[in-house]
Amino acid sequence: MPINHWLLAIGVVSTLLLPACGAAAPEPPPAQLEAPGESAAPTPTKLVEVEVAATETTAPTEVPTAVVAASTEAAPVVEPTEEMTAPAETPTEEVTAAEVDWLTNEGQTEEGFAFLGNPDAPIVLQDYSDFL
Amino acid sequence: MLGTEPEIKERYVKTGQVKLVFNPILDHGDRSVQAHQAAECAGEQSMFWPMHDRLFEEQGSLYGGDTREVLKMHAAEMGLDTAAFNTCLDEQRYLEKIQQQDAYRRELGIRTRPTLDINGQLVVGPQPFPAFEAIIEPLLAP
Repeated sequence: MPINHWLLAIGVVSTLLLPACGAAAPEPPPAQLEAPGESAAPTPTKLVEVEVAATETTAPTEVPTAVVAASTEAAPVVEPTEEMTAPAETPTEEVTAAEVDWLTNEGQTEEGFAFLGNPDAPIVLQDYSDFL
Repeated sequence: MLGTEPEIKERYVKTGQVKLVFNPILDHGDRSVQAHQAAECAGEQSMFWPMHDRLFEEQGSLYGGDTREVLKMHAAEMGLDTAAFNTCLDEQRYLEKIQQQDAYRRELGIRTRPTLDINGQLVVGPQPFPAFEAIIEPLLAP
């Protein structure tokens, strides 16, 4: 076979084999968190970009749907009702002197005499009496 | 007192307008001495005024039999701690106190039962409720 034919054959085979060799190259290592200053393997940005783009295109509606659902559940709309409004007269927890039953309060004066009622009452009724 | 006392209690003491203070008069010998001590002994269990009311209501029971035993019976029926009450009465724990208080009212010149002192105004003898009302109401006016 003439040498020109051999050269032509080699050229054709090389042209066919070179793209196949490029596709079979080993995959780059995944991106890793690195401390500043440490060396790391280079990340092939083109491959990452392609994968991200593919994810977005394959499921574009799932995330927005979930977000909407969560926001709806987290913040339900509550319409104000009459029961929620403050009443005109709000009962207080303070007990006024008039509401206390002083008949249940007994004690002794400083002089040792038994008393009944409000110790700070404006009127003191001294009862001098015998049981018989 | 008891007569108009329930009305005074309900109208003025209950509402915090009047403080009622009891001053013993020992005019009936040992029966008075035991009865007033019984009220003091009941007061140790925060039952002075219930005993006070009961002794006036059951006044007739104090005139017969052993006064101390009658008083112990009243304490038991009222649900008091009878061990504590009976010990107090048997010890005559408040004898000196009630005798001193009785001496004090004599020094004040008080002789009639009942006598009431309403912010310095004396009401002598049993009176109907309006008599007390006529004294108390002006004192409550602003």
